Amino acid sequence: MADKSFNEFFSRRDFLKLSAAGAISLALPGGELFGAAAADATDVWVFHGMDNYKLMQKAMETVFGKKSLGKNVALKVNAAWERTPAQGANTDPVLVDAFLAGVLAAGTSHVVVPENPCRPAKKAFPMSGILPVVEKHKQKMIDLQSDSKYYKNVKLKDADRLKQAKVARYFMEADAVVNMPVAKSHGSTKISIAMKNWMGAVEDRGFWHKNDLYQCIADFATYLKPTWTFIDATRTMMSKGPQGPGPLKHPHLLIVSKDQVAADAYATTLFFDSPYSVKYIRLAKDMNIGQTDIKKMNVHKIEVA
Amino acid sequence: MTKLRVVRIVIRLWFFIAAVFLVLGGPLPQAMTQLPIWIRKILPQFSLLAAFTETIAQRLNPIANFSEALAQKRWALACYLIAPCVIAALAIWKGRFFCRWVCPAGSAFSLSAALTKKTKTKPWRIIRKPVAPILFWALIGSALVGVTLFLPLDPLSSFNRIAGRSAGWVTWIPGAVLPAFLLLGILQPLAWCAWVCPLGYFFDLLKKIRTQPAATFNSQRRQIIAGLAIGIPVAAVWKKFRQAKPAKAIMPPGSDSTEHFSSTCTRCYACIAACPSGIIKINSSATELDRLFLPTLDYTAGAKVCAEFCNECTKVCPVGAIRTLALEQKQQLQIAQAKIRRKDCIAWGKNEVCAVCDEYCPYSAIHIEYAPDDEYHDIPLPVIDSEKCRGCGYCKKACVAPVSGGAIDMLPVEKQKTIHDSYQRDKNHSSAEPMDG
Repeated sequence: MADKSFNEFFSRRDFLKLSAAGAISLALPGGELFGAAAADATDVWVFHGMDNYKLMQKAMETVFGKKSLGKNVALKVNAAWERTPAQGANTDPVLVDAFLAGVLAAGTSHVVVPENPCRPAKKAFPMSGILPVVEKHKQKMIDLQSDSKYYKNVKLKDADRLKQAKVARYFMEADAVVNMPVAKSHGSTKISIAMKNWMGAVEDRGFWHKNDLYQCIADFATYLKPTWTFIDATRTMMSKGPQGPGPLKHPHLLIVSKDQVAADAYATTLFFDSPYSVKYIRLAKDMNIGQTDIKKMNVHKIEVA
Repeated sequence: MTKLRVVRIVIRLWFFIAAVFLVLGGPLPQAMTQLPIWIRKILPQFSLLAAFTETIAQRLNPIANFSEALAQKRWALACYLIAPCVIAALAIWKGRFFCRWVCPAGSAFSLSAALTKKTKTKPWRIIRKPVAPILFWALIGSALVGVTLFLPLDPLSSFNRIAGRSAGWVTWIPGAVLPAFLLLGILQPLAWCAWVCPLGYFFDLLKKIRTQPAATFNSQRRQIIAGLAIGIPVAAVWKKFRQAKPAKAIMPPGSDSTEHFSSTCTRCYACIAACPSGIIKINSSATELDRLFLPTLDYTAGAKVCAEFCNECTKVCPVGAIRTLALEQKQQLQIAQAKIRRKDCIAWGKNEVCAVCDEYCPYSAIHIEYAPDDEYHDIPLPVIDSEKCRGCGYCKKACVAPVSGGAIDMLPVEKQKTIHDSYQRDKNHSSAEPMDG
């Protein structure tokens, strides 16, 4: 399981050093900063800037420091649709580019980008702009649809409906898992951001649709907890999602957290007044998967010039 | 063997191998995918008969089409319009020159005739009278009414469809026309070329008109009258029969309507060979005489779609039964209508969250409604906007309702129509489009 202890690659001491260096405002509570995942003070970093490459660079510098994520990293992007980067249906390739450059420079040797796309990978991956970027860094993008051997059957012991699932094994085998979804509207779930992005990591997402989609999304989040979540909110498709083309807003944000539920809840406010407008976030609250209350988060707003 | 004969054999062999390669994919199926898509129509396109009768049937203006192709810089299309002119000129000058030098069907018949000669069996005479003149004039007659009724018997179209088949043995029949005559050719050498081929007769006719115009029509008078007397009424009855029925099948994009498509398609199956999704199938319903063996869209077998970024079939029709469409035109064309069977739908029928159809709709033709009394509006109910639905079938493919074929039906439309909405808002989109040809 990739959800390793935070301390393995990012100690509190490093964090405080970094804070002292001025990257982060010091308005952090002293106590248990990085204790249990859903402790009172869940950190959410919100980076704002016009240059997506710099945005990701700054975010990584801030949250990782000089530490490496480990030798093998599994990155879950959204490259599911035959849509261009400007249309906001897939993760922005510039963010992926900066991320890959960053982690590879910091000592990671392999980054694998598995995706179970909604359109043929042959078309969707190149059109999303992510495949060329991944290939540029000599890393591998995996079309999970091409072979069922990519999956491993797992039991979800904390789940309510989704008791077992075939999950892409890369997310279990990597030293660190990074979820890098795009924030966009969604016809059936209202929004599709971080938790919903895992539908592209399982073999049978039809099961989710047939068995209470909201519950399945929350269930899966009890099992797969990524090391980091980076939400691409540089542009957000406000309706007609998940595929669009739909009307865009340009918040120019990158939302980062270790707690995917918190990141999701925060990003939801770009679309709705309350995160609880989205049922799977209400379920995440009820099941205590992560922090959903924005008042209880340490939100660090950082401007990237 | 004279030098000329050797040259002729080499050239014929070359054309024959090239044609077999085009139809069957040849020894290198991968190489086939590297060729431009219009190569799929090159063989049936060479039929002067098809070009001539389709021009009459569709009331086309070749000169206008030619200048339009030049104006749009569609060189390939312009070249195709030149090809029939060159072949016609050759026929006027040399008669059956095409048959003897180029026609791959002719080469196949010559080969089987050569076999018969070697075995020294006495040739049978199963076909004793020339069928070709009557066939030709019946075709002209039907074309005048607006239907190319006997054009599927064109040898080049027949050759092109040898490999075409779908589920069910019935769909093998159209591809078996040429092989059947090939077998007959063993017993009666060149039976097809000499007695049946309407294209060969057309070449003969063109030369005769040049050399002895008056005598030609005098000697052919009976056949001309007989042919027209068969072609015109049969086509007229056929057309009435066609009009009386509502649309029941979904046609490839650009084919306008079942009426237009079934009237003008030569069943060469170039569109079937070109379709990357494999959604175009040979219609095998024998009860639908008017669209028997017609290429139609089958969404059910293997959950196929008419892909958003694809206009391949519209690039390969040799006779304009399927109009050439730019990708943007095809994306705005309604070829069918999706309809949700609400009792089988997970959202409408079971009141559970799903709406996967809305997710997959590329044209935003599905919108979500919520039950009004629900506090959080949690059950999204998908509604198809019939004014926006293109009939691509992505929703049907995505549908997970636990009934056979899902809860979405694809319904045919009387006439394909252009939808005026700007679904592709972002103009960067088309410039990054890899398939735009």
